[in-house]
Amino acid sequence: MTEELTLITELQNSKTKEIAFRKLITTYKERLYWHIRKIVVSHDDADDVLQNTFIKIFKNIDRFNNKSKLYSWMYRIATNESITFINKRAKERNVDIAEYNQSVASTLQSDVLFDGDEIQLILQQAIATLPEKQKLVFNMKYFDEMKYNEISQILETSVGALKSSYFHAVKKIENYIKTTTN
Amino acid sequence: MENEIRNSEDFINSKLGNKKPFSIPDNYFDSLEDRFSAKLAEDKFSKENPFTVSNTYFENLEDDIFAKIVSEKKEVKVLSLKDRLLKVIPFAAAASVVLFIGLNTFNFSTENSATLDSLSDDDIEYWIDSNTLHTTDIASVLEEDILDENAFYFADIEDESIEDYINTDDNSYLLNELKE
Repeated sequence: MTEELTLITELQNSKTKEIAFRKLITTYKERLYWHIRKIVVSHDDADDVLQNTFIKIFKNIDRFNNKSKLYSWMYRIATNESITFINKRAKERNVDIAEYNQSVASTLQSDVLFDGDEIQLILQQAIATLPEKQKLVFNMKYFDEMKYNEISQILETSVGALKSSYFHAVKKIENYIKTTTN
Repeated sequence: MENEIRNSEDFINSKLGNKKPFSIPDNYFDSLEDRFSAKLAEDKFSKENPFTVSNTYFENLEDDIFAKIVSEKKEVKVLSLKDRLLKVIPFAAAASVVLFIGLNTFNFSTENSATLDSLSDDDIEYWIDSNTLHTTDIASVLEEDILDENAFYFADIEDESIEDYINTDDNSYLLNELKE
């Protein structure tokens, strides 16, 4: 925590900001990348969103107020950037978000950066059918094994609501897999 | 609810295993800081368009383009067959001349012939001095009516003509000759 506070102080000082920011990227790049990648699915899109996320963090770091953890605050920015990205892409293609997510999941089979077997593919297709909030909660809870408290801080949603979202998400996915594989 | 969640999770786990499905390009994370710095620098440039056009430019653009299309159509000339042939004739004539000169040049160059102009005076003198020219050769040329022997008959020259010649010509040279 002391280390995080030092980093925040350096980030908010214009003399040390750039060096501190390189340190920040090095520390969080992988965690944020994988969080984004699970939402936007393709690597190229994840790369775009990751860079936009860091730019937003860089520009707004002076307004960060220590009320939440730094990484929670960055996760929130990354999540918002990912959702904004998906909405923008869906709008460009003139489709709704559910339709956009389905079309992205259908391209996974030919994606050279997707090594999953058939069941992995089915899981991604199942995740693509979830509403945005359930999708986020499922990724953070199931894959990243984050605690409800942490997710609550990032998504600014109550723990109870998160539990409910996660419950619906796992049930839908279980049913989707059962229906598809039988 | 907790138990139901656990059961569903166990089911998904049993199907999926531990393998991570997503991968990244080699060394993707290595250069991320540098690429971010570049992107940040790029982001500092204003994307505002500095160029402007007149207020009515886009409003009148269709009319301007159509006006140009119409005027271009008017300028198109229709050539009759006769006009076309007349246009082609000078080119055909020029091509014929070029072809004629070209063919002749080709022929001359292959014949390797010599003309009088191409011989130097020294060559001609050497040829005459080397006794290859006989009087019979000159006689044979004369026989071919190049020179008419009647041209030298004094009988055909009028007396008056001789008198006129003597009177008009400077005779000092002749007088000097006679004195010697």
